[in-house]
Amino acid sequence: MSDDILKIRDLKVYYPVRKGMMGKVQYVKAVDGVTLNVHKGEVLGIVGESGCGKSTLGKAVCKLIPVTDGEIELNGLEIAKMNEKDLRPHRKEIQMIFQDPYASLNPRMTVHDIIAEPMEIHNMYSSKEEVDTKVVELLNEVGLDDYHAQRYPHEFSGGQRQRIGIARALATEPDLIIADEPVSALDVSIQSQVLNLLSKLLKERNLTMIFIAHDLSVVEHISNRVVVMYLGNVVEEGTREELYGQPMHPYTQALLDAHPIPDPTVRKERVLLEGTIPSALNPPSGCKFHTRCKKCMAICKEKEPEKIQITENHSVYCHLYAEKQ
Amino acid sequence: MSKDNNKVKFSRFNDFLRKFRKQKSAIFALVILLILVLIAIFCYQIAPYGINEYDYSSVLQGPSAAHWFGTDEFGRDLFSRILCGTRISLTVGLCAVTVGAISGTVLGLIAGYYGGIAESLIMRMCDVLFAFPGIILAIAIIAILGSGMTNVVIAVAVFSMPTFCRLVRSSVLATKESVYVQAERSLGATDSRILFKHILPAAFPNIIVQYTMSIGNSIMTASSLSFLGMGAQAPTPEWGLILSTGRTYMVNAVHMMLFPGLAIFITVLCFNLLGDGLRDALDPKLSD
Repeated sequence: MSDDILKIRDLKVYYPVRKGMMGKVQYVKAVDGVTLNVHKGEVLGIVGESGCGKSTLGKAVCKLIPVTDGEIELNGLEIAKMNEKDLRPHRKEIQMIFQDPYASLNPRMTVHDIIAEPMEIHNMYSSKEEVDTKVVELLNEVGLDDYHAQRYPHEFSGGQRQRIGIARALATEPDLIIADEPVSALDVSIQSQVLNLLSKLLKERNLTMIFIAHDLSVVEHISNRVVVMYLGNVVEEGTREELYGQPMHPYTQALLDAHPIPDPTVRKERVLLEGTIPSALNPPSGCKFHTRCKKCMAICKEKEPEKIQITENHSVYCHLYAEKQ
Repeated sequence: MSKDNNKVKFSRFNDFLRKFRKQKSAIFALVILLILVLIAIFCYQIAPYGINEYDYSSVLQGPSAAHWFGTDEFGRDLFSRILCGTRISLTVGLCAVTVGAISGTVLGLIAGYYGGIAESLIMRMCDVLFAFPGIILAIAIIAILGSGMTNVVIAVAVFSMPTFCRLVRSSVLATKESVYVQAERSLGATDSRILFKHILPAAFPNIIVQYTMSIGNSIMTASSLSFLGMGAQAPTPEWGLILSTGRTYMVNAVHMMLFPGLAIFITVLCFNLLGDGLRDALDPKLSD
């Protein structure tokens, strides 16, 4: 087994919600006990429908939102409960690429200043010339030209802005990049360009990435390993080949079935999901998926499923496979 | 990397200049205000008579070639007095609003960025100040501190502060949640860096507009206080005070009220026109 760059143990992120002035505080369990390892050099895809907690997981790992409980170990260092001041120097090891390339760049700063910002924060270079050279290098690396440095974000297209966002994330020379739906705000034609850029950078810089997306084909294209989330929990985890080739969890099967095949003559048997995702305020008991599951059994309503190892790299959280162990 | 290789050099400032040039009335106001500033600086050099040069042989005379704005009840030249009043009014307006803007901005930043008890305290305090009409609040403060120009400055500063506070806070609240500030936080930026490099610049256009508009208002309030006898004391050539003395002679010497009134009117109007123009030029949503 390769080195783990990031270990997440039983991570919980709850958002407090109060109904009315005096109402009692309830918690939206956005992430409810996620355990994950990210190996060095891999691309881990996280998929799931809207509201399953995949973005919250990404932000929690970046410590952009407070962690309710659990552990996050980055390069062997526990950061979940670390205070902001101690964490600050370690922030450069982990960087984020944001979903909306229009909102994630300060409209009042030039591209040069945006990309130089992380270098200034961490005092990475002593002279201004070094910073300038580095900025141009990064711009070229993400496929932009030198003269773009003096322009403002509003002069760029969505794809170009996302490239600037990527350059900013690379500026601190991080070990781990968290890409939170980096291409879902872009046109399909631009999506592939940005994805190819990401693949190229990953290879060249030997980066590790967590790639959060709802688009299954995008995740299939870029990831080595895939994690499927449902309502704050991991339901299945496996290598890309195993998970896409042999989905075990009924939810994964339904997700893959809902994924269109680009051939109108193919008629396939589809397992369609009914209903919507239940409220994270009051998640169902037992297996959270049992309200929509076609293969629901009595035990599913009562007992939370344990992690079941199918093969070395493929595991599933489902009672269906309990007896096989 | 040199900046010269960039042919189409775009900057927000150039963009602002281009838009501002189209605001004809604001340009006009700016020119008048610049003249007023020059007058304020050189008033004692250009005034034809001394401000306290009594001439009992010609009291309450109407405008003439010798006395452009006429003379007052002691035969002093009204034109000279109003010229010198410019310095007082502009100084009071600028000082008061600067103090109000700085304190309001600082409080607004704290309230908006840190939230919690600090925010509740600051915003409730502003609500209290907002509850009074400006001039009444100023009178109350003068009543506590006593009359005099310094106290007028303090009073006007206090009543212009909450507007800045609220304005800055709302801008901070909007910017604080933006993705680029989140991105900044994930880069490891300190609070002060985020505040002064990202949040404050976003609020700056609003502050500038409010600042310009407030000066007009403050000059008005300061003059009103002097008119009511709570600000400048005789024989200071303050516009409000001249107006107030002129009230006694309103029937047979209209010019004593007309000219100081006009001076206040033009100054306040110009500041408001300039503020309007700045607002339009700084608003990114209004393109061209």
